[in-house]
Amino acid sequence: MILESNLVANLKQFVQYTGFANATFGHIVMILIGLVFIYLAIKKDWEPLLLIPIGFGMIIGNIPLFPGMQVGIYEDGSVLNILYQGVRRGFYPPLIFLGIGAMTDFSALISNPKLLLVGAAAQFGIFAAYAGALALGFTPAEAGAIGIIGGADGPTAIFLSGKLAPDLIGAISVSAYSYMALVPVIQPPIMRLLTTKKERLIRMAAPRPVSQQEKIVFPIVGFLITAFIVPSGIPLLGMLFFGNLLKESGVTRRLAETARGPLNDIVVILIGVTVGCSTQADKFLQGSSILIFALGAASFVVATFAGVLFCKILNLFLKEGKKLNPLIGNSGVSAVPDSARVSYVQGLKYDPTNFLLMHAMGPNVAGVIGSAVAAGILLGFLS
Amino acid sequence: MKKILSVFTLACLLLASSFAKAQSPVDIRINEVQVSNVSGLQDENGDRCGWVELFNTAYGMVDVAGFYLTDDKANPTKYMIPKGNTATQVPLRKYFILYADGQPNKGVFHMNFTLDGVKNLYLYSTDGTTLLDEIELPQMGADQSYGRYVDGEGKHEPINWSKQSARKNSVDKKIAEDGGFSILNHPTPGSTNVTTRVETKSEKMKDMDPWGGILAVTAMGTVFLCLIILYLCFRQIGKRAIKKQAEEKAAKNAPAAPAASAAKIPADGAINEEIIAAIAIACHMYQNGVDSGIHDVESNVLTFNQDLLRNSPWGARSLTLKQDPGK
Repeated sequence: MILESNLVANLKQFVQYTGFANATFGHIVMILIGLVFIYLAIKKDWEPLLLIPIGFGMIIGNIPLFPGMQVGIYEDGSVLNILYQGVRRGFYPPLIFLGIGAMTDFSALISNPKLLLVGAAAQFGIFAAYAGALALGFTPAEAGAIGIIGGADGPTAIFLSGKLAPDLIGAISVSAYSYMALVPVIQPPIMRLLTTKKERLIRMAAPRPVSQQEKIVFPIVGFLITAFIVPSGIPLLGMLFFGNLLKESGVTRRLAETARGPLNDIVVILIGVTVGCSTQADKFLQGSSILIFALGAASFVVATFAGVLFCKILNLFLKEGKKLNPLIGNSGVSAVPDSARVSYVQGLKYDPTNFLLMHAMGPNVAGVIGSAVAAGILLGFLS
Repeated sequence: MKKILSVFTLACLLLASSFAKAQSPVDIRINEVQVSNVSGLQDENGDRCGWVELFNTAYGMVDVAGFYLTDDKANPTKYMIPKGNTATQVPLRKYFILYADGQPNKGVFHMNFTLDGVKNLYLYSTDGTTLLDEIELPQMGADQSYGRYVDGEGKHEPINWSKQSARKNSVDKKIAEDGGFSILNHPTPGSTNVTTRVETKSEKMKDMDPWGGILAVTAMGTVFLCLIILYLCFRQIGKRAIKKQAEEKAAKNAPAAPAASAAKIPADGAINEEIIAAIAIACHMYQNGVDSGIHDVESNVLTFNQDLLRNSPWGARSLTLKQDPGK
């Protein structure tokens, strides 16, 4: 009899620890969202390298837990919590920037440096979203973290939100990556709206060949200038330009290959899965998340507007033959290389012989530098 | 290129010499002083005496060994902080305590004078002549100290205090009127003097810029500034590079020109089969492929079109993160 009652008590306790006993509606919703991410990655091939880790991370993070078992991502000392420190303390994003630097070719930008200005103009989206978030009642620190979604740069968004608004990191990073995946859907209508057929047919002069010497000087001078003006951006800018120097120096091929290959892959896995885990239902399913998604969409729209309009304004001052095709303006949004591909595809639609890809890569990589600088400024003002 | 590099280096050196101040003795401040210590800080022997707290405002370590403290301006080298002890290396934004008991043999950092009746305290650099900081001590009660409201800020501070006094906050005005110092009822030796809650940058920004316009303008201005400077730099570097390439090409082609043309076109003027095939294919593509995009348009020039659609790494689906969802 006693054995029977003990057995029942044990079973009851066991049931109490299972996910079924602790499940809430929110957990189920988040698991379904995770499954949708995985579906989109596998079936639609949308950012699979990011959506698979984030999607599965969402499932891991939303398995209902009995509190105090030290396995949840927000429980101090748990394995997931230790891995999450890379996001929370911001050491994964600079490592990703190292990989981005090691895989980015700045030749297009060096050959036509005025494209840097297009990359700067597209950062308007960040500050439009910042103002919008303030108007919606977010604190300036939270607004800064939300605004950086407009930079269209996942690692930068994670880096800044980890510093300024850790509670919103899940919503901000998922929003940033979602809109980056949707760049080919969001940008083309705006590009068509703002340009005439004549402008879309503008042919830009072929980029000149860039010497090895220029490629080596670029990361060094680029870092010195940007870091001296915005020292708070050093973690991102330093690693970006360092990675690029590894690539361009010509004498550190092994290091460059490691930075853009295995190291980058490891960090992408860790950042994806831990960001996914951090979207626990009680943290993620809030009204603020919906507002963040709305502000994120608005920031992408404004950034695209600003980039395209800036090209048109710049054309007013450029001589015939040196004018920019405004279809590359959207590339200032630094979703590399997606927004450049959008310019390329749109350009081909109107003139199958007008290849804008290399021209669009200029503002695209300038956007990476611009968003890292903007993140540094926000960090300096708000942290 | 050499000229640009030398100008750039010179500019950097000038900038550095104008602005660099990290890890410099001038960053050390007298931060807090207690004259009458009845129930406060104890020294390593468990005794209580007056003390002086120094603060490193720099963003790097500063070694205070060899610095001088004195209550008499005519005798600036009255007490020297002992050398040969690693404890004198004050990390960034950290504190260093000296005991003012007039018994230098009692411990390493015990001064050779007390603060009783002292009206002014001076901190000199290792040369014994450069005045780093001075403080005028008011009358203090037992267990009170006199120090800066905000660590390292105030008179002789690295920031311009008069500008700070423009702040609306009445407390800030009061601080400004006092030169950044006040009598502290709760001395804080070895830790920050700020015992009240300090407004965060985010909160200050909310008061100063509720709609985000100022930050937006400032930040966009800075982003543009960074990228405009980069643009100007690389425009110049690019011009030089183009000139250099042209010179190199000219130098290379000049003597080799007859040999090169001889290599391309046989001396007897005969054109081999490969050249004929290439011209035939180019003509075929030009006549049949302009509309379908297999040939690029260049006036009066026949070339083979590089197929970027299929061969570009950016266009290759297998090499990019995702496909176009619009498809």
